Amino acid sequence: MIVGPPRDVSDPKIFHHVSLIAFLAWVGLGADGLSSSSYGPEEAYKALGPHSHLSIMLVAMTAVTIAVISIAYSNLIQHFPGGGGGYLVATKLLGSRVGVVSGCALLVDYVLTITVSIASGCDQLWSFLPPSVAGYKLLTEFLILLLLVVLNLRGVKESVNVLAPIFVLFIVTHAFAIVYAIATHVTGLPKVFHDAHVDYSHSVSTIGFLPLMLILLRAYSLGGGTYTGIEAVSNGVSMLREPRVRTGKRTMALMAASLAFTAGGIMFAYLLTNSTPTEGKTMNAVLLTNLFGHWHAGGLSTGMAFVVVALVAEAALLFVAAQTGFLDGPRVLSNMALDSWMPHRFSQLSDRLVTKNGVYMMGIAAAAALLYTRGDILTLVVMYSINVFITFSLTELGMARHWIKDRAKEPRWKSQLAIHGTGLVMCLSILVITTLEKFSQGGWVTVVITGLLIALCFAIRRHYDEVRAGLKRLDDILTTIPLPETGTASGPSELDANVPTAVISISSFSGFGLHQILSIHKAFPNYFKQLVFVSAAVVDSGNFKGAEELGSLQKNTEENLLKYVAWAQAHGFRADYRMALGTEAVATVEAICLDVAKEFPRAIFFMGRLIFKEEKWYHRLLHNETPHAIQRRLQFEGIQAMVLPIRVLE
Amino acid sequence: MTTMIRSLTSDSGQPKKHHAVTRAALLVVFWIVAAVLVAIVHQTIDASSPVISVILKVGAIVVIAAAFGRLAASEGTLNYALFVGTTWVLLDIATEISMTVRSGHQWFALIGSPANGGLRCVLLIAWIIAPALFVRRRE
Repeated sequence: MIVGPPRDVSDPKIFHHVSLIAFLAWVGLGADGLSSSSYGPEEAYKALGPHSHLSIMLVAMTAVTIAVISIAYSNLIQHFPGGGGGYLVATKLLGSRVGVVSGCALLVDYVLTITVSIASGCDQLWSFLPPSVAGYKLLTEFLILLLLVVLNLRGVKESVNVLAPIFVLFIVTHAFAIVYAIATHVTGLPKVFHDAHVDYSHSVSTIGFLPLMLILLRAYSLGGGTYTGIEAVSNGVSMLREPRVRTGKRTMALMAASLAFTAGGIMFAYLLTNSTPTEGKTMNAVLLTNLFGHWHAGGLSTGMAFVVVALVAEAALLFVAAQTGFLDGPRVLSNMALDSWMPHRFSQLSDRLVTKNGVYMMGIAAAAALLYTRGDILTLVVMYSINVFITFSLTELGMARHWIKDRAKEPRWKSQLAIHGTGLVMCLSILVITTLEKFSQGGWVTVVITGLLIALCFAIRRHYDEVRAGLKRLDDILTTIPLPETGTASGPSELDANVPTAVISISSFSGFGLHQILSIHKAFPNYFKQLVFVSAAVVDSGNFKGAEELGSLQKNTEENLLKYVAWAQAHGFRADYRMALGTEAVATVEAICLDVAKEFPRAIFFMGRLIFKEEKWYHRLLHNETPHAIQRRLQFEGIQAMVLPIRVLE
Repeated sequence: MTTMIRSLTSDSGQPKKHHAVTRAALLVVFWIVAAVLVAIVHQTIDASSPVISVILKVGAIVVIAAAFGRLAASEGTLNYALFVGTTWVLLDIATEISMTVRSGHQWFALIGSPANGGLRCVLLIAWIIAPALFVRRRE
């Protein structure tokens, strides 16, 4: 009921239905960026301490930074219309090893997106609740996380549609608050700037210009949380409605403008209203109370009602922002899984067309982060900023390198290099200062976790490479066996339903599949006269991009099957094939086999499984247990199914 | 033609379509019934025996969850059951906070006092898991 029935992957409208238009993309992907205004400006402003007059410069620096990073990522959308974000860019432009660093940083980043957003959202809500109920906050954070996991197992578009009204409410309340703050202080603005100038001169004379600039830079860096989420749009291009590049650029522009206005406006409003940090309340709560707390109408505290509505909208938007972690985190996991940096199971879509395993993984990791930090937003934002700016810096470095390398071919290379070079300097400076400044206050955790994840990725890739090398040796032996000279029959054979039939589940044409045929012949000499090859054309995150890609997938699957048919016929068997399109290999193959079992009552079904010289505990995690799962299901239906061992040659 | 290409759609029965408002209303109604029963148990028995109180509370929650599963969510999946359970706990928390703020003293009738952490955990798990115990449909 809440999740809905499975989707039909062959329906050409499914991709259109699940993809997003610019406004919904702004809601679903831009919410992460916009919601950063709930915690980013606060951290920057607090870091200024008594030098709050510097916030005027901070506002300008924030707006410029948002503009530079957004333009850079908008170029990225143009350059990488298939999406993929930091991982893809770093892999393509800087090499696969650097790509892994970026990908791992992104994964941790998305876990922290979920955690920071939920923790900050609850901070907003608890700002208007009494201290006596503070004990419920952490529990509520865990429950909201659980709710989001369930919601995201359903699919993208439905979640965004539900959350769009929340987004609009946030925009309206906060735009009103910012405009109201400036409008009610407009006559005092000259005095504000004058006071700021006086304070600045006084500070320079007492502590010096350089120390004052260092305080400014420190505050600027600690406000790095403001810029988190800008990359979400370029990461999620693949889920945008066509034309994707135009939709992506529009979404980026919407997000950048709204974030610059909100973050800059909020910080300026702190200064105008003399908002100061208060225990148990967020700075935004203090600001809103300062602005509207005194409003009354007909004896009712309408001002506090507005404050509550605005904070509820802020909290709700933060929960929307947590969606980005669930939307893009599994996508990064999928991309890395397709390149064998992560277990291949993360590239599989469920029948809900989401990367189910990835959603579970992100949820569990976010829960662990929440448990470790107890929802402390300061620690979380520090960890968050470091990872985000690793990815930003590598992306900018990659693009800058690209424009330098291709300068002979690209007339715009100078302007593009200027943009990405500036972005690189900004991102690197924020990264370095934040890491050094906050290393002992949570920074080390993110560095260690990201480092461990990188090491794990290299170990996983090394294992898959070893297995691939072993299977290649098998391929070299079996696929190069010369075929007997027989009268060639083209196409599948006419089969007899009443004779023993071997039904073999295969994927690509390789030594793995041929080994199965030879093993069957060895175990059952002269018993099977005919073979049926079955294969599932599995729609995973790599090829679920549109009707054309699905067509190619079907064609490739059929070509592989025809190769097996030809090979079998050349060795004296009658042979045919069956195939189907689906999102999960097990369910798809099971369905085909059930149909084949009805067609051929004397069929026995065979699947191949990799056998290692020494079975280790991680083999089950890294290699699909597909053959055993298929065997289990078929045997439950009363069908004979055998798993054939295929040795991995070392 | 001996080859076949077919695409998979779900061949299990389509769940009944319920209006979203009806589903939300049923979810809340059953929660109210469960919450009232739990609050009554808390008022009458908790002071004398917290353990028996928790056992009876869990029993009440499970019975109402069974009724919900049979009457309002017979085609629900495990995901939906978890959604219901989580929502029930969030409603519990909202209620406890509201009662605490209104009355001026702590009110822990629905999910228990933090002072009894173990019993509180049991209640929380019961609220979340109970609807899932009566799920009939596979994902």
